Parts: sequence; structure tokens; C-alpha cells
Amino acid sequence: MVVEVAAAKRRFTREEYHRMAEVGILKPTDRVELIRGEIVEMSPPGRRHVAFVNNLTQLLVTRLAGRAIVSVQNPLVLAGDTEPQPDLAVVRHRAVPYKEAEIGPDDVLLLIEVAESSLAYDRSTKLRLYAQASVAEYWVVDGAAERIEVHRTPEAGGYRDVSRLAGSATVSLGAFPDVALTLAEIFA
Amino acid sequence: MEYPIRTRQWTRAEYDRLIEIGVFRPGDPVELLGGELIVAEPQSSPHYTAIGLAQDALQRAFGAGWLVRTQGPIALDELSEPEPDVAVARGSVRDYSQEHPARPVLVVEVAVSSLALDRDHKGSLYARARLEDYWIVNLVDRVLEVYRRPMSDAAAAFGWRYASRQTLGPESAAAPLAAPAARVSVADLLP
Repeated sequence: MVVEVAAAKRRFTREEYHRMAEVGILKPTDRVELIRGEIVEMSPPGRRHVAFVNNLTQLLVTRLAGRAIVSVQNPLVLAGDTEPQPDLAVVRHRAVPYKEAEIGPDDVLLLIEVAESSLAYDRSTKLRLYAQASVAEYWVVDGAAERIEVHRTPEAGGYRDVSRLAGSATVSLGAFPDVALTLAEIFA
Repeated sequence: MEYPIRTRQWTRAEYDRLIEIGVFRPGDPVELLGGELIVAEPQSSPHYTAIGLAQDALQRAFGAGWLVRTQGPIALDELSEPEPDVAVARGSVRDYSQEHPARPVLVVEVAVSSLALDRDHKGSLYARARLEDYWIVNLVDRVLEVYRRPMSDAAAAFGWRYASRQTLGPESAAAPLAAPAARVSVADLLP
């Protein structure tokens, strides 16, 4: 049951969120992410969601071939109260090894959310969150309609450049313009 | 535009564990209401004063054999551990050293900015737990609202509400259901 509450919900910091996981209040089976201090439950992935995430993983790993790291459904630190787990993140190689410090917005070259039931959320709340953190590029992959929205050039409140791709289109990465994927491959 | 999301719901056991591991510090104004952790109304001086007045008035009204607790936790249900401003339970302090009281005979909330929350949200939660006697000291209108007779109502926040609501002005007095001979004057409850 989802209850509308007029009062303010208690929000959590990343530190508190991790403490909950450490002591086992949040379990590995909890599919959650920390968004602006709220511990948000993610919808269980459907068959098509799984397929498209796997296709994107294979394509990006192969095409990028060591030029960047493909991080799949792993957390990313955007702020002291925000730690989402996007479906995919393409992150740069950096001087400080990733075992030493979490992935931050400056490390991200591209974020991808594959959306089915969460399309409205991924296009609104998540989009503003990523733009605000200056994530350079964000793809919303609409798994139901088999379309992709490419968002580039973050600014306050959203992205300045948006292109919507469907059918036989090809999508390339802003950070690697020579790397292109066809929608046919992604939605295979 | 914000889209509705489902946040993680907490059980009372998990909430107690969060307190134990120190995520919440004592006095952290948080209550567990139907699985949600809600930040309580900040203590203004009229609010705090009204709590003290209600505590005194109810101690006089109930007398020996009853415990009048202020802002103490109530083990209401699996997903709720509210801390009503005042609650009256049977027995004495040590009776609740192992477990919070679950079914106080009277619960009182003092409302300044939290009137809607106290009426509709907490009222529905208390009605669902079949708390028979629920009072709101409404400092906005300087009245006492007395809620009784829990009934189910699909339109209410938690599927229950109180069938009876009586609004009493400063000239009136109320008799608690569990101490029917006593009279609590509304004027004594107002700062």
C-alpha cells in the first residue's frame, strides 16, 4: 500500500544508508537506491528489460574495447544523499583507482536507464537529478516503444540537447563519436 | 512534475534496530507511521506547554494505577511506532520496561501546524488500531477535538476513521472513556 503523507518523510544520508546495509537492515535482496535521501524501491526487472540491458552491455563492452569501463547496475555517488543505481554507466579510466573512491558524476561519460514501468520517473526526477549533477550524457531507453531519448549538455533543470531516435536509427556516444550502435542491435 | 515512487517501508522491528545502531539519536523527532518514517512537528513553546498541561490534567483525572506518558513510543502495529504527545496506559513505569504499550486507553496529540496530519493520517492509523479514545488539542482554534468509535472507511488514509468527532470549547469538559467519572476541563489543556 502506498500512502500519501502530508508530513515530511525522514530522509537519509549515504552514510546512514550504508550503515543500514552493513548491519543487515537493508538486505542484498532489497532492490533499492538512495534518491535525495529517500530509499526508493526499484521495480523488478521484466524479461525485455533484462534483454535490453544485456544487449547494451555486450555492445558497449565490445565497441569501447578498453577505452572506457562499462558499469552495469552499480551504484554511483551523486551527492551526500543521492546514490542511484542506473542500468548502465560508461565511466572513464582515471588516475585514482575505482577501488579507492566511488564513481562520481565527473567520471561518467554516459548514463543509461532502460525503462518500462519507470519511464515517467526516468524522464523527470532521474533526468533532473542527472542534469543537476552535470552528468554529460543520459539515454532513456524506452523498452516498450523501442525508442531512445538522448540527452546532452546538462544545465539547471534538464538537458539542452535532446534527440529522439526510433526505427533504423543509429546512436553514437558524445564522448566517442566514432562508436555507434544501431537501435536494431539494442532492441534485438 | 514529480512521479509517485515507492519508498522502502520499514517494520517496527527494523525501526527499533535503526535506533539501536544509532541512525536515530534519542530525541530525534521521528515516528514510524504505517511503514513510513515521518519527521514530527518541531516543538514550539505553546506546543510543549500544552503537552505539560495535558499530562498534569490527565494525571489528576486518572489517578493511581494509570501511567501518563509524554512522547513515548507506542507499539501500535507491525509497521507503526508513533510517539503521541500524551498517552495513558494501565500500570506503572516498570510495566513497560520490556515492551512499549500497545493499546493506550487514551491518546492525545497537540496540533499547531500538524492539524491535517493528526486528524486524517494519525487519526486513521489510530482508528485502524482500534484506539477507542483519541483527542486532539487544537491550538489553532483553541478547542479540544474528541474522536471515538473507530469504523472502517475505504476512503481514509489507512482504511479506518473515527465515526464520532466532538469539538469542545474552553468552557466545556471531557470525560475520558477509561475514567468516565473524571472531568477534564478544556481550559486546563490550553496554554
